[in-house]
Amino acid sequence: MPPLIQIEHVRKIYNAHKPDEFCALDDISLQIEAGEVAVFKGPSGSGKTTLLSLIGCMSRPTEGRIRIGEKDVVKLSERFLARTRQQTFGFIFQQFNLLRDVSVLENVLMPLYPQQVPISAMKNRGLELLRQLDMENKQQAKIRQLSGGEQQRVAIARALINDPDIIIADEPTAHLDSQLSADLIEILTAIHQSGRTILIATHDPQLFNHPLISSVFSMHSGRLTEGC
Amino acid sequence: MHHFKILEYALSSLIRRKFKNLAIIIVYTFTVATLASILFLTHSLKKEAEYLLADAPELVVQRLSGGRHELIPLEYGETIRRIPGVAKVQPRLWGYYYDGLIDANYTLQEVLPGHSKLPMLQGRLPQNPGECAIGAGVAEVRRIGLEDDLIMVDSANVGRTFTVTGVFKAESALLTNDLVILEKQDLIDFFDYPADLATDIAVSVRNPVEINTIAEKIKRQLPDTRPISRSEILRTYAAVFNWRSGMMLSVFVAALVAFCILAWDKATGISAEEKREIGILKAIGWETSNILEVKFWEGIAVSLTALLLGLLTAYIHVFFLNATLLTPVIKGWSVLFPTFRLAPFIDPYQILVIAFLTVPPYVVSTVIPSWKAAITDPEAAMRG
Repeated sequence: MPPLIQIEHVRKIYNAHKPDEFCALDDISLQIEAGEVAVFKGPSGSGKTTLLSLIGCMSRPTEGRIRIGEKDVVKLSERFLARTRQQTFGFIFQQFNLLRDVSVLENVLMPLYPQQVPISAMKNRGLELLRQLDMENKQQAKIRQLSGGEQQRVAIARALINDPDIIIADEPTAHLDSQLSADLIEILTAIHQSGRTILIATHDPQLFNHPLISSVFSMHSGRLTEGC
Repeated sequence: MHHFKILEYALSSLIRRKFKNLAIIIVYTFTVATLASILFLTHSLKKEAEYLLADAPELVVQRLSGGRHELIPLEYGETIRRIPGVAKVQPRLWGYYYDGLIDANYTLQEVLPGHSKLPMLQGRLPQNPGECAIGAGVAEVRRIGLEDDLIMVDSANVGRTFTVTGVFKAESALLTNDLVILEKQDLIDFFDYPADLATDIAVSVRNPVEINTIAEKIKRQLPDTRPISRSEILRTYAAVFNWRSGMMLSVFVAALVAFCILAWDKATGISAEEKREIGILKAIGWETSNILEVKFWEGIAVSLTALLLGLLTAYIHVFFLNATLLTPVIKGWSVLFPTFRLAPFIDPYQILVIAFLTVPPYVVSTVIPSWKAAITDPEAAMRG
């Protein structure tokens, strides 16, 4: 059984062959098994977010190979890459990346719009997730009316709506106080218990020292310094 | 099923950016309304001309003296009648009357057999001395109707009273709008015409292909006359309206170019917020084609709304408000006439032309910049 995520000699260079060329990732190789909770830690600019976006098929590496299950995603066409994002990943972004003037429920349902899912089934699933995250009473509220912690729970619900195998969370505690961070860890624990793999980029010790975490990768200046 | 959901998303997205879209719709509607008004008005005028000339005689013979239109002797009619191929000859009496009270010109005509085919709004043609039938324009400017009196000053500067027995419909307004129909003897008395003269002679021809030959024969036998064929009159109308509408369209091109620049600027300059939205949608699994579909529906919704509003505005402007903004340019001479109301003739081909000139360019200018953002990596697009 191959690892769920396999990365081999990945490099990511921005603005290649230009004066402002920048190497964000250099020769990254790692493996993550299904069901793991992996943390990528390191200071800002170390390449954590870039690595997660490559794993999440949101951009392609300049060099190297990334396999998700049986698929070499680097070779996939744009269309299949989008489909992989849709079916395999749920994203919780650092800035949440929700649509501010759209309701909570619509934000949660957004990934299902282009899919062949009946509207009633979509709504039932969205409401169920909001109920689990204690956000059901805010379903019609606009995102701009919510607190940071509430926005994050909406982002979590949106990440789970497709029932993905892998959840990617980029600095999930960056905008939360310690109580909300603890709540988030509880939610992540529940998500992990449902059998999902979780990848987290963070520099929050409360998170990477938590017993939930099964592997830690340290990064610095675009390289893995620990956990290779 | 997902197409319906994407359409729903596109509409809600338009509502979220309502002020920007409203501004585009207003400018867009104005452009369509201007273009459509010019085309509707020109087409309607040409149709009016065709309509009125459909029942007109194939040839009208006028007498010229020193290059000016003079009364024609009735015996000319007999000469014309003898030309082989001529079916019918009808001397006609008519003249212009300037109404100093309301600063308008009327056309006074004797009752002719053809008049009975014209649509009457109310009443009948005059049958007795002292009666008249009038066009809708005359009725409007003089504020008179059936059974009312129309007072006009004759050539001897004597006021004459005619009782209105009929009012024509606006359907044939180009012909009847300024028309006052009188009994033959009333007209002769009014203008003090000699009894052996007519204003012109209408000639019907048995075989339409012989019109030009017969016109040639008339010209040869009666050298001081000018035969004018129906098709020549129609061509003159068409040329005048085409020339005027062409002039207007040239002016309009400047407005159209300004609109294109505005539309392009509004549509292509997708904001950082819109780019970010596209990035988010891509990141959560939307395909490029899904995003293009949203933008396509947005473009269609805006452009069709503006097209329909523009056409409706043009229709109201031309056919209800009497093309207030364009009439002086397109109709030109109409300022002398009583108020002129056009009958609504619309050519579906013109609607298609307007739609083709306005909808696809806008939709393309909406989709292309979004396509550029949609093929960018979601990570980069989300940064705006």
